[in-house]
Amino acid sequence: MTFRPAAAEAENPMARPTADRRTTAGSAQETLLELRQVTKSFGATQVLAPTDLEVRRGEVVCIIGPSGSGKSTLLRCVNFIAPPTTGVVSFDGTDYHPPKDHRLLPILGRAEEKRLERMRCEIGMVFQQFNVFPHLTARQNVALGLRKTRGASKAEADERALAELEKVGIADKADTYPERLSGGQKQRVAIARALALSPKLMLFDEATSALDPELVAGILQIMRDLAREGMTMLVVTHEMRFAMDVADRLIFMDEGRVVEHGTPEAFKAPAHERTRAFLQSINAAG
Amino acid sequence: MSRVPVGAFDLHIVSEHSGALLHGLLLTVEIAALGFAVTALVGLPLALGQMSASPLLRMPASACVGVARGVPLLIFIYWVYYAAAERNLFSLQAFVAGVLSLGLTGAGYMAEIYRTALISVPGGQREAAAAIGLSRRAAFDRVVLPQALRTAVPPAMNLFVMLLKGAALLSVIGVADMFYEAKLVAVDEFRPFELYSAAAVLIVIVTLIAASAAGLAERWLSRGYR
Repeated sequence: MTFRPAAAEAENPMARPTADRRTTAGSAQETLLELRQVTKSFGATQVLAPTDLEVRRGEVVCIIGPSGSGKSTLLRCVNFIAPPTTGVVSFDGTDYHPPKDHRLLPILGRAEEKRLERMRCEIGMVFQQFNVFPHLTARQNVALGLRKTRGASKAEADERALAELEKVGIADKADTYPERLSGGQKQRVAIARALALSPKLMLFDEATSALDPELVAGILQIMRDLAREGMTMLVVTHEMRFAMDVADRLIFMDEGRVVEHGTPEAFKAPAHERTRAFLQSINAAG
Repeated sequence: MSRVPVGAFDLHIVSEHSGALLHGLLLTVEIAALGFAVTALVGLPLALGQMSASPLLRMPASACVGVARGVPLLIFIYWVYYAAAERNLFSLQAFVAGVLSLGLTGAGYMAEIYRTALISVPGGQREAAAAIGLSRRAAFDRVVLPQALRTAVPPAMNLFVMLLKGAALLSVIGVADMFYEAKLVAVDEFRPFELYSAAAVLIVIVTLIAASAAGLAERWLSRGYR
């Protein structure tokens, strides 16, 4: 079971009872992230049907499903890397709406953009393809965000960057360029880069899917440790064992919609045929 | 007046006028370098304009690129130097007219070099930059542009060589570049073979130097890449 700081409730007197009590063993906790009727379309193609989702502080929610099911799209809507087409994303008490089209005069969108930039400082994201910056060393990769968004001095940022690299076990690679790093090491840099900003929420988009099999366990361990420390996490993954172990709740998506939603316990006997078929196919492959 | 038999290559005549040739060469390189600076400065906003989501920026930028690439350099030179002066639009010194002609016609090409280089930076890089809260400006300055420049160096080097060679055309408006000097001596001494050969060799040498400088720049921008 995930460890949660006992003080969480006391710190948050405004915590309201959550709608879905059955999903957490603990008592009511404050909602950190809420998606209300969020959709995403590319042109006429709707890749994400209206979706509601709630993530409480300290909770780990895993999203599973076949490729093309809208898992990544959902994740990318959260921090507006791919802005939703309709719906509302509420994060840490602030509502964010789909951006208006300011194509003619982009300057009109500047204020909203600034809000989103501040929001993204609070949400770390880890990508399947790592997306480390190839022209910067590991340390510079981590320090960049600190310098540009937290206003840290070069010395402060470098020191913090080294500490973050230490935590993910690659402090000795601080001055190495990504090209010389293995996939696992690159992903560690990417995780350190996200954690350096002390995010309130971490998004993992198939963080281990592009890794060689022997490197997967190391990254999953870092994610387990993060969960144990109480980090709120929204994780798109194909690693079922990790999901069953670590998640407080699981979400199964298919064809752009949430098909099933429940605790790992409930997912041992899924209600929907589609979920059963998917889990079977994964188990057969693994 | 030369005592060298007809048909032999008279190196003496070249060395005798090497001062004028090198002086001309210096001017050629100077104009090409300044022209290149103009292309580098004007090309970037044109590229960004072309890539903008706003038609208010995209359309004028595309029009400028089309004109800059479409008008032949020689016509551009005549227009900037003679045609504009005749209508009292503006009147420029030959040197300035030369730099602008090379720079503005080159900017059209440079815009395309920037644009393709910027497009070649994977989208994941922009996403990762946005995900750590960087503003679009910071993402561009610190993440996208440094990676794009690396891709842009080789074609930009090509453009610089084009400008270097294009500078020879400026002799038509009386810029005393190397070709101009070579032509004077060639006519004067009736030794076109020696002088034009020398001029060609000198330009080739400059392009080789420029190529190795570009190689160094590329290596520096590629530190970290294998």
